[in-house]
Amino acid sequence: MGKKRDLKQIDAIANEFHIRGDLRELFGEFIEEQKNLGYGGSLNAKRDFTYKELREKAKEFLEEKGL
Amino acid sequence: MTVAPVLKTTIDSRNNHNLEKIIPVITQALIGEICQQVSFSYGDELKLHFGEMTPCKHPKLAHLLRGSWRFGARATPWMVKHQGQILVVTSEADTDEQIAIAKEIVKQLEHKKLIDLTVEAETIRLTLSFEDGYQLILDPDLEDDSGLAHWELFMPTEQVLAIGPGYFWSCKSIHEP
Repeated sequence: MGKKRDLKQIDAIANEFHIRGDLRELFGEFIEEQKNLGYGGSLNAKRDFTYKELREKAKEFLEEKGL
Repeated sequence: MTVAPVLKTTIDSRNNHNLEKIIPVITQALIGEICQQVSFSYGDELKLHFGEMTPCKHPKLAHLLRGSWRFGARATPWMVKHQGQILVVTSEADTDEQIAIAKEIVKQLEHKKLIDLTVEAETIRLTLSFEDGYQLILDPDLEDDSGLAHWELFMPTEQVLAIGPGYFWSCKSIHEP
């Protein structure tokens, strides 16, 4: 429980996009909620995201936040 | 809101006895708070929300509530006990079915009051003790080289306490890089 690969990808992309502190935490929740709402990724049957897709989601996250 | 002074340090196995003393001091105000919500973030990270619940400050997450205290288990396996009996033990190798069962079981912590938080100096085992005999226990892998913290705690003071990797720990402002 708690997948290192997924968490490391979130942290790496958060760093790349200067998403820090509680925003990084919120970014992880945003990605999970995207899956729950049916906007998941193409990595596997669970609709996890590829690294490229996560980068796109990071841009979306920041745009929606007005950052 | 008062922001406490930033504490940042690195400890190792020679002086890690400080950890078991310092962490309970930093987290003292959490004791007595109710676990308002159990949730999961991307990567099946366990989150426990304590304190005042307020809507997320993001347009697409405004329907979600989050606590003023938020504990995240990161990728560390966890165990739930009740009256000394193990209810569930997780691992990174869990199947989807095992993950689903563990997620249901840990929800038993919702609406329970936190009565104690302890960290063992040598192993950094974290034990969160709740009313009615519930415990959440994390046993960090001190050899893990992922670079991830073992666990973290976002606090109402706009600080985040992070334990790990290894014996490293920090308590700093969420606004600090």
